[in-house]
Amino acid sequence: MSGEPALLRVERVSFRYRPDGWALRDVDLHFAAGEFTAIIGNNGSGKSTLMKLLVGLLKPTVGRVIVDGVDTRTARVSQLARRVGFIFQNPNDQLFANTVAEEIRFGLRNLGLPPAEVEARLEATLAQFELTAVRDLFPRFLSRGDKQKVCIASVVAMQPRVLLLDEPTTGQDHRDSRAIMELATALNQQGITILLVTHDLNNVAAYTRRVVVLRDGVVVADGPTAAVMSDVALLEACSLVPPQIVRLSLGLADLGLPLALSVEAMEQQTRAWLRARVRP
Amino acid sequence: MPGQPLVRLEGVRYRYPTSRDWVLRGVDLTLYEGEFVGLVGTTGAGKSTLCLTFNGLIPHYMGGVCEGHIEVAGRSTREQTVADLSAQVGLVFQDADAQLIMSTVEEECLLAPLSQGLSRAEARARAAQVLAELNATDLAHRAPQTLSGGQKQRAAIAAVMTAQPRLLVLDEATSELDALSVHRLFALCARLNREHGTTILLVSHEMELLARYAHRLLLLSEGRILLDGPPRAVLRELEVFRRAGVRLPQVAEFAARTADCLPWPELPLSEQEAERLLRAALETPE
Repeated sequence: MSGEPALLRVERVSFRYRPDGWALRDVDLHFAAGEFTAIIGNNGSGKSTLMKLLVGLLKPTVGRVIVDGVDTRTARVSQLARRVGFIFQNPNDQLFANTVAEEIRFGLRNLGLPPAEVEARLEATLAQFELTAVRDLFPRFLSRGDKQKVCIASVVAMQPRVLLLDEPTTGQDHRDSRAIMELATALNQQGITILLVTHDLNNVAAYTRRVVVLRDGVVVADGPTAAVMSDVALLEACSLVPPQIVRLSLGLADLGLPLALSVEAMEQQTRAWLRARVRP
Repeated sequence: MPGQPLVRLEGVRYRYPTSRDWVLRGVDLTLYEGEFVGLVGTTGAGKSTLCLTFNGLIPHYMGGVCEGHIEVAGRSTREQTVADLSAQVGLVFQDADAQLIMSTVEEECLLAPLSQGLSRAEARARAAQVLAELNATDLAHRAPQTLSGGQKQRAAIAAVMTAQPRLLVLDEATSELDALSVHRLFALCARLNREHGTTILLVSHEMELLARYAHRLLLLSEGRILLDGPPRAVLRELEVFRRAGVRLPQVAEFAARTADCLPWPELPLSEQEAERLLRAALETPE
């Protein structure tokens, strides 16, 4: 690790909506550039509150949040928006323009970019997200999966360093859910830091590299995905259930099979195990 | 054991008034008394539309064009009113908020029995009984908007169950819930099925839980039923599921992908089964 400070710093943050209860208590988290991290926890654990603090929609009651060097208590929302993109759980909460192209132009114009630059980024974004064919359509008439893609495209066009995804796969079928996770992976490989709030532990295990677990507003675990996903007791204490393939993999650990976080990994490891066994 | 046919669809085609496309494209389906059926398919496959045919909302309320024959408890739904059908078929939607309209959960639970002609005392007794069975007695005097997602879902199910339906349909009722609440909801459906004989039709993306709880799985794709049978038979069809855009339970997918190198004697439906079968296979010397 270099001496460079983390891209996102949540420093001793507590937050309450009402005087009578803390939604987050003494949360201390750093996220480095290039991470792909999941934030998981039960309903009411504080996940969404943490996300809103990271984009500056909420300000800490105690402590501070530093986003790419900027303190969210004093920053303007527009300053933060160019650094951190936020994708709402429900695309209908985000989409408002009459065409897909206008949806993408909106954020670019708000950045104060010259018209030629707006158009250039629009075309590049439409191509990157394979949305050129639907550029003139009314976004709300698209399929749920395509709506989500338009939301992500309109945020990525602004070239944020961090993308926060709030339950992006909730209510989506497997095909759309997988498409979103693969899109997030591709964006992460292009250098965008991804923070994902989700209930879907199959996706967490298969795609992310670090997991933060919240319970009742407190961070109860924070570590590499494999370590957190294999701590069954901890997850169950948080009303979470590890993916089925992880449970199978843990059950077979005594045979010398390494931990598998996805079906694909389990298949590869089983094949390797079988090959090793037939050798003398 | 499944009993008499409860719902029977023959050659059902349906399209909404605003669309020229058929959403259901020839569905033949019989649901039998006492079954626990899982319905899976991608968004847009027609799952919710199919659910609306069971209680007469299609064709009575939704308009559009409905062809073919739909029968509930031996009579065409065209000859029955939605009110009559609601005593046979209870529908719980994904968004419990859309279903909860009264000021308390108890009031919610009195609606159906009162509309069925019970006295207020009888209705209250029935509501109390249903709430107790769902471990929701403590919710009786709560306002629906103050409840958590899981509690709202339980309140919505309670309200529907007070009509004493023979078929309970849950249309993606689990998608807003956390993992433990989802497990509890499946266990609750299994209990209603076992102890009351309520026929269950559960629309869900929770493949691992459907494999464990459902007696029968239906795969719907583009308005047609592609697969229909016991989970162990249906979940063998990796390619059909892949084309329909629906994933298998993780252990079933693992078994399908390793069929060439591991002698799976049968398709595992749970991680415990998979572990037992795999251990037997791996511990056998070459």
